[in-house]
Amino acid sequence: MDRRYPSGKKDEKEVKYGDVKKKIISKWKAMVESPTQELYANALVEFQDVCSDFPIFPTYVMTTLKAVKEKIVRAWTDHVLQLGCRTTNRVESAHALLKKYLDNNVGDLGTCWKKIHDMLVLQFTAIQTSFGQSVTVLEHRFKDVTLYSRLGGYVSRYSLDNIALEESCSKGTLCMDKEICGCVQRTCTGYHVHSKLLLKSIKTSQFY
Amino acid sequence: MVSGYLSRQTKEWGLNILNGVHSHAMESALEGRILAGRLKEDDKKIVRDLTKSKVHPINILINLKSKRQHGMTNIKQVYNERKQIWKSNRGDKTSLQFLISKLEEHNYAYFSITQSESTTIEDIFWAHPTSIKLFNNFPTVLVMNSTYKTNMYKMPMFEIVGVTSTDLTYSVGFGFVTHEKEENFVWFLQMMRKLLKSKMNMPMVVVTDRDMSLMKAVANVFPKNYAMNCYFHVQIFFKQR
Repeated sequence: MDRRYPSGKKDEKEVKYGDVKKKIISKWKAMVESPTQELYANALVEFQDVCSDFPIFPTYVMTTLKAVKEKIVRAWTDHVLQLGCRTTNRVESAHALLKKYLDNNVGDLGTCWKKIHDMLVLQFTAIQTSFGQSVTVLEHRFKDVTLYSRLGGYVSRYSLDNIALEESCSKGTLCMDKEICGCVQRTCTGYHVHSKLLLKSIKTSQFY
Repeated sequence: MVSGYLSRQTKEWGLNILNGVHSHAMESALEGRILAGRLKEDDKKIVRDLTKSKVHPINILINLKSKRQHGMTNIKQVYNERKQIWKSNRGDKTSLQFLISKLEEHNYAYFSITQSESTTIEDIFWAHPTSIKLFNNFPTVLVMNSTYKTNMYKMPMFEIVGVTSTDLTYSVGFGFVTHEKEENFVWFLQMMRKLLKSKMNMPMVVVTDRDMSLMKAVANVFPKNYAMNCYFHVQIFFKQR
């Protein structure tokens, strides 16, 4: 809003407008992606530094950010069981798929329903297949390994994959803390959330 | 050339032949006539089958042409036939009645809300029985958003999706909204909550874009859960500034 016409320095800034914009956006990204609250605080200071030429802009950002920071900044969102959904990309892809089936925008209720129904039928088959594969297939790398061999058939392959990733990470940081249930290694750092996520996916996949 | 007239004296119709010769010779082929372009019965069957499997009209026409090299069928006839097929499927029901009858036939759970004074349906929300089963098992994360340009009524379509343990997306429910206002979304979310069988299994995270009315509705209906905004949309909004 006000960045286009920074106070007083209009002509000078017009030239470097692209650069300034890029810089601000990159700082913003760093801020949103900061994994801990301390890093977020640092990034916030840097961000304010970059925007210092424009008086109204940072204040506007600060007031808005205050209300929504817990909803968008990684430092907070990573502490919630969000199964990797930080954006609405899942629903956007679902919309795109839906529109492929609808293939025009002039259908009435009946035709829309029919096409959505066809889409759902195929979708459920795919999901059912993935469940079936999780029950029957155990990857070779997981066979005869104490941690995994008993999980096969109860935990989905996707979550097994995640558990393996988690394990290698925790080995890397040498920060092991075995849970009693024996299936998830908790690390005291940022992977905490992820292990919770896994626990949940284990629980849910047991329904099938 | 022929002219007809009514005789004043006898009150009878008469016919005068002014010129008995046709202005041009008879055409050898029948191009441009309804008779030449019409679909034969077996053609109609092909159109019906292909329409059922969602083949585009142009591809149906290509199929017909490959079967009948000298056929004069045009895309218009294919469109007309498709329209007829849809009409005969629906019978004498209106599209809403047809929708509801189909929803009942396939055991969908559906809810509708009418305008306060009249009986016009304002919003409708439906969920497939398998969706409901999946929803009861995987209610952890829900992502919701509405999309446009899906139907002739220019109503936004509201879609809610969830995530299964195998990292696949499943659709919880679909709905048509007339207004994207807070109370409409509140109604949608309440209906969705009804689908959950156990009260223990509430959605924990709801991800939305930065639509204020939807955000408020989420906070209203699921007070305990963690509402999250799509950081990407916030970023877009931020870029616009």
